[in-house]
Amino acid sequence: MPLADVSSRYTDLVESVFSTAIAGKVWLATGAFVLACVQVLTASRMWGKLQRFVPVSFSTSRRIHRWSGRVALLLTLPVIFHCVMILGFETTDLRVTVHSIAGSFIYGVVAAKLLVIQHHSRNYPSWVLPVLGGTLAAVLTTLWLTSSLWYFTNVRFGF
Amino acid sequence: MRSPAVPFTLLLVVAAGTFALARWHPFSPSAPNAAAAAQGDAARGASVYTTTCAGCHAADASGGVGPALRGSGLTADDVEAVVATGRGTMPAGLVSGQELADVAAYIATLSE
Repeated sequence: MPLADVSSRYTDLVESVFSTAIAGKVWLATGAFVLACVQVLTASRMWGKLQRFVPVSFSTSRRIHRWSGRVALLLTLPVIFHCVMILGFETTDLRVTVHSIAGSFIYGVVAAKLLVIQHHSRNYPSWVLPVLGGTLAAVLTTLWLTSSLWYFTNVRFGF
Repeated sequence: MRSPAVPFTLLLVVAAGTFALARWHPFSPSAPNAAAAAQGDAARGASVYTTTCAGCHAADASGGVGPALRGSGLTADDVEAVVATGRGTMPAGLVSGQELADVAAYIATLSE
């Protein structure tokens, strides 16, 4: 398939659901951001925090944490494809620069967190997993603020 | 006890790979095919402009975060190409299909 067709086929696919490719990306990122909030809450519960605000057992928290993470990761795949493979790294203004830099790091943080989990986090110093989880939440929040929130407030709030 | 240097090194390697891929971005946004472009309706385009473009270019197209479009001399084809591929802080593909043709026709009437 010629390279030029990939962009238009991706756009056609997303536009079968959303009005534009950008709108699709904005809503998928919003879904990932909401799930990231769920991740922070369930991780806090698993580490013995926020027990009053997250009244679920440790095992339920862990199950929700894992599945919300998997779904969030899936939601980011089309977003990262459009951002990285089609739009690319841009530095046209502060918002776009911050977004591009944060976007470059997100899968690095995901890979590091998955590696630590794969090797059993107790084999690492106790600070490693919370730092990586917190960094992932911070990076995803930065990405959402500099893309979806910007779109909702400057362009339109719709599908 | 494993060294925390390993996951943090992996983080940097993947980030560097993503950065390199983003600099390369092999699939450029596709510009609309002029021959296949739909005929735009400027009246419908005015409402698309209000909901999608006015936030940055101002309701009267005199400019804001984005440049002034009124009196810019842009043709409908120019507008379609810029909206489809993005420019500056404006991401590619904010509007597409018939809406793109409509808003391009509307902006062309302002830019004369």
